[in-house]
Amino acid sequence: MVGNTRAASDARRIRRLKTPRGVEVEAGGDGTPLRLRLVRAWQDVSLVRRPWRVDQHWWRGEPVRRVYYRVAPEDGPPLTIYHDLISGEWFRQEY
Amino acid sequence: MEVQRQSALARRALIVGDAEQPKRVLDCSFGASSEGVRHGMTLRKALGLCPEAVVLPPDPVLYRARWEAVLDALSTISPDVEGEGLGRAYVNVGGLGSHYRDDEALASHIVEAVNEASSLDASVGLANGKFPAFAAATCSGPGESQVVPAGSEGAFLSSLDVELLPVDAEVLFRLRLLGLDKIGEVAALSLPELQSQFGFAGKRLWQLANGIDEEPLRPHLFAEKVEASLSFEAPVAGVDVMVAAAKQLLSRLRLSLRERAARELVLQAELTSGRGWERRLVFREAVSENDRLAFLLRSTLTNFPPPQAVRSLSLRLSDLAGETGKQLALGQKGRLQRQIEEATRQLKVRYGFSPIYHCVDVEPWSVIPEQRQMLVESDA
Repeated sequence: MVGNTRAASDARRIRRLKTPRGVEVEAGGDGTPLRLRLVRAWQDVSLVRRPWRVDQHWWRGEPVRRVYYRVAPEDGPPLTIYHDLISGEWFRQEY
Repeated sequence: MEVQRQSALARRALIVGDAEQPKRVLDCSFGASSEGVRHGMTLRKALGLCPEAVVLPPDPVLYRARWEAVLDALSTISPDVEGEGLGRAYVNVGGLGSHYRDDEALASHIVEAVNEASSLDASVGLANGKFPAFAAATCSGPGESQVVPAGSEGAFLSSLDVELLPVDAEVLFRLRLLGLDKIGEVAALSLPELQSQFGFAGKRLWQLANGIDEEPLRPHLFAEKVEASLSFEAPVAGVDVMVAAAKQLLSRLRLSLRERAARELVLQAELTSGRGWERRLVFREAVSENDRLAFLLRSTLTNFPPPQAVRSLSLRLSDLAGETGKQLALGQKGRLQRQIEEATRQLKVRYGFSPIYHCVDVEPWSVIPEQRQMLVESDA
């Protein structure tokens, strides 16, 4: 018996590490994150290092334009978030 | 060293270029530096500044051998010697005053010791702290020395260019923007003023400008090493032959390694041009497994082959350490692997898929984190 060779490949077999996860952020006028929603509560955050920008793959059809921030919430360890300049969304990601 | 090798180059401006891409200036002669050529500059820019310069490929084997001879010679003067890259070393001469007539005599002795060991003329600076000593050495010509009396470090540094300061390029750039070209102009500013401009780096900048350098000397460790070499009857260009020769060297070293693990591997070759070629690998964890070392040798020679045919090959393993973790890696590897495979099979039967993955590098250099590694199902 031969298995169905046209079956869709299982996404579980290969997946990316450090996949970004969406996060709710309130930013100031200059784009710097001020508050962040963690679990259920909103928390004020402060920058722990200068933001850095990533502009990649503009030579391909799918450019990546992000500004990364390393922030420290009031209660909890520092974490890395980024603002996707194309979609306008915020993500949390291990860097 | 290059002039000693080819005396015809003595009157030419010389640039020693890096072998890596993009090619950068590793070192240059006084003639080239007076035209504005600096260490780290791209060769293209350096040749734009000094078009008549002769560019030479580096000979890391010769440089390393001479440098180690210099460090050995310095260690006979004082046991506290710090080698800060090729060409710059710090020696703690505290307490040696009674052995010499004066500081000048001590400095002359250092110049002579370096010359005797390497035939090179060293520039020596004697001062309190590493930075004032470095600045004094920079102001001295080859084979000369300069002594900065204790307490006058700030006055000595005041007329020197800020470029000498061992601070980030960004700090130097901002100093220039602020119109501060001399170290004395920086020293004239107060500590709070510099801290408000440069933050954390401001304090170090203030200290350095005032001749205070509290950075301790990190003594050079004369680590135990084992090495072996072999010469070919005729120059060899094929990578496979070099790999076979490197493995032979490795098997020769097994005895002298005496079951210890190495943290550093240096593979050197003498090229047909007479120059040297070198690859140096530093491991995060000490390696003792023969297979692993053989794999590293093959990868090195395959990915970074010597640029020409080689006449001889030598292998050195250094920074030898005990066998931490070797038992698990050697004795239980097979059993552990079998256990993982069996567990994977059971989990796959239980859940319909394997929840055990292994991590594969895709673009480990990528600035986009999710593109660096993939998780692949362990039986995929």
